[in-house]
Amino acid sequence: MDSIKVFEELALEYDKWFDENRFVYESELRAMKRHLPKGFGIEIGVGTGRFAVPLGVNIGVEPAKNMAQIARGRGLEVVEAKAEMLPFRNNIFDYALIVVTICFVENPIKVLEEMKRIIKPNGSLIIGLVDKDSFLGKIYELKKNKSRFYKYAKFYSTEQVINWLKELGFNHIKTSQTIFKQLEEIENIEPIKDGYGKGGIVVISSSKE
Amino acid sequence: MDILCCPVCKGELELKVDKKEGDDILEGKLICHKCNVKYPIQEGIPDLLPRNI
Repeated sequence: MDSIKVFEELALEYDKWFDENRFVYESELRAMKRHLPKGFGIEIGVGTGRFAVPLGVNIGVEPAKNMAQIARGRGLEVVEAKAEMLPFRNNIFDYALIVVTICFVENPIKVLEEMKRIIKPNGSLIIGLVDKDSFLGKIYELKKNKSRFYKYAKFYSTEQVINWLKELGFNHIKTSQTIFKQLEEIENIEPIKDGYGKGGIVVISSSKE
Repeated sequence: MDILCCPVCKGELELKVDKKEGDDILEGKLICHKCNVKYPIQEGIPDLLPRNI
């Protein structure tokens, strides 16, 4: 529960990051948009709604109440729930999205299983993550103990997450990457390229069965 | 509402509304009779965090 407590206390500070790093944020948004299908969608770990609102996602799940309230204030339907135990019926959503959240959950495989359960057959699962094997993953890993947000984070590589998706029976796995320089050097929107291996942020999309 | 279920047993929830604003349910409860748990709705946000786990 440690990550949830941190986000409960630092909701406003978390939210401010997106204004202070707007080119990083905008690049991430564009990379996500590439993979986003149409239809009825949900974001797990919606935070303050910084991704769900501009991407037009319908519902957000967030365990930290203070964050959930900010997201609701931005016009989003929010449910307070745990990613490993989602309170939704089977086969409801056209897509489920999880952005820079997989590093904070207790059990990432259980989260992906739950996301699979709530999306329709042929529905999409889209994951945005800090790639542990990338330059950014390495920087975050080094700075982790000094960061209030990332102190409790556990980063995963794109390869690891793709293996989990395959084990869970997902197919049509596609990847995009963005953020190719240190965050403080970014003064413009970063390019978005296919694949992974160079970019700090990777988007993985896949489809259920 | 019709997409929600109990986070633990995935069974049906009964909705009790205490305060509404248009279609928005601001205060109320979602009850799982099977688990015997009442999940509160406060300030428009249903709290479906699992209890006692």
